[in-house]
Amino acid sequence: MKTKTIDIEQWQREAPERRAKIDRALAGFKPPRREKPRSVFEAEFLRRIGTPERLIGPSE
Amino acid sequence: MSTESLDIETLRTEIAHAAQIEDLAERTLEIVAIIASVSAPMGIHPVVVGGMAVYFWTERDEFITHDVDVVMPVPNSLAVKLAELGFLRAPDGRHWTLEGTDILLEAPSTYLDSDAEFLEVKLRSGRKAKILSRVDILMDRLDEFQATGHETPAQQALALLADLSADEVVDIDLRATRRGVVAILNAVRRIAADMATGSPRPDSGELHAIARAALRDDYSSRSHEDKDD
Repeated sequence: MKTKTIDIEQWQREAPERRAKIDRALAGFKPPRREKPRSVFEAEFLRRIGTPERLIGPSE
Repeated sequence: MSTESLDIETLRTEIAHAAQIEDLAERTLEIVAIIASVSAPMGIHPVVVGGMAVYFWTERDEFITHDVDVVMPVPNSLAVKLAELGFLRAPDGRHWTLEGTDILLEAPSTYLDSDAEFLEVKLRSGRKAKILSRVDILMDRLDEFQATGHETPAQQALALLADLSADEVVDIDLRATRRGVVAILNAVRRIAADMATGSPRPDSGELHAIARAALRDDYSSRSHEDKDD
């Protein structure tokens, strides 16, 4: 079992470069709508805290 | 006041502060690190997996869900500590909410692959939190995309693939065979290469077809391996 270590500040400093690569990889895609079902409890909680329906998806 | 109750009071204060951290990934990891500080003496080391791990590695707002999947067993002794920290256990037994916050933890009774790898993140508090490695979460998403053809894991796999280091590329090429995700990995790499040269993104129907074809290829190669054995 391998574990690497990173400092959160370093991770956040590198964020712009990382985001740019991922932006290029996903260019043209629309934000996806979750299709994998969630438990009713989880869906209700996420709805209560204002999570968009697109991210909650269907309930089991 | 006993030392133990003082510690819990301190941790409750720290968890309340952590819940106010603006950066979602950092907030999540600080909270998981505080949980780890009470679970570690029991030999339990929580690991962040699932959608929050995808969010950590990709930082894409469109993948945020606020629920935090954590792999850790929760024996009664840890359940008591979590309650002392302010977590409320849901009736289903696997979800935990932190009173007065939008924190939702899910600790299902699952275990990680024996060869799973982690990233340990050193936090501003001085604590450390563990998160599933980018290669492992990529293999999870490839698995899900192959099984479902859904667009969410396809996009997540493309995003994770985009930022792999040279070492991680070697690692996934080694481990994808064992995990049974070679065909879908190659398919996602083809999508990425095609899009990089200006091809349009595949639509939902095409993604389902790609996933079905990869599943067939994977099944077929496994059948050949079985005959060769």
